[in-house]
Amino acid sequence: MAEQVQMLQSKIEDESKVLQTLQREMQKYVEGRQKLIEQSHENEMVKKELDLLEPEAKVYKLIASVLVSQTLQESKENVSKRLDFIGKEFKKVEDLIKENTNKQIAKKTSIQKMQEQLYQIVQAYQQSLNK
Amino acid sequence: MSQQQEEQKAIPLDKLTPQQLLQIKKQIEEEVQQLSQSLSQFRIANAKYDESKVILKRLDQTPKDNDLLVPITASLYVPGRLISPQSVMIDYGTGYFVERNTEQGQHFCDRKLQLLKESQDKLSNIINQKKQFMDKLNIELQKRVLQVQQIQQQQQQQKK
Repeated sequence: MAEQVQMLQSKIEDESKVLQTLQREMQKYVEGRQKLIEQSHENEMVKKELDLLEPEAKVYKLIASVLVSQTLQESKENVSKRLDFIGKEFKKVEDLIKENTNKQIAKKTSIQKMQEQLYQIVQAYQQSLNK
Repeated sequence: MSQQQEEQKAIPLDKLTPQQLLQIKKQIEEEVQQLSQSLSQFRIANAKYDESKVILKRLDQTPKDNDLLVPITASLYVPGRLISPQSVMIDYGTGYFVERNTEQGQHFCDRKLQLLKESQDKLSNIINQKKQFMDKLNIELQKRVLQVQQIQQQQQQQKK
């Protein structure tokens, strides 16, 4: 019986650790998602402003610390591409968050089950002592 | 946020335990604080665009070849001459800069100010809603305290 209890306890501990890592991962994903939302807002704003410009407007792009001249057409394409990329990344993170949530739920139920098992074993033991 | 609002609808306040009420109160206090911080950041941005607009106007009225001092560092200035009072470079964000004339620059500031105003109004509304809910929570909490006090008084009287 002692062996069984020990085994269950160590298993619960292991599973709890896995759960903790999952929770930490989740935090990272949520932060990443927040950043992507901010970036997409910023790019959206730039896109709107660029759309208002006349075609011959002089546009420069900051590369390192140098302003490089770029055509409006090119800039628009660039910003659209960036928005596409951010959208794809956002979907990826969303999927990861969903996956992580499901994993966490599964871990939690399995831990709960083992805790119940442990509780039953301990109770059975106490009852046998009382007899 | 949305989860909480669902909770608000789903569970009436008088069904919650004092502990739960306190927890929700704490949560909302934090949210209000965070949102107020964003609001003050909006105000800073607002002031910046306002200032830029005023400066653009002044630049527009400055004659060409006007003498000026260009700051090289915080305390070192180099004499210069204004060559193009009508042309400015505007930071559009995400690394893009666009050459605009002062009038277009002012329009740009106006658009940004409008955008900021809309966001500010939205944010203020949310904060007010949260504050109203906080008031409700506080009233409910006070009720609970009174209830507990009454029960205690009754118990003391019974002892006597």
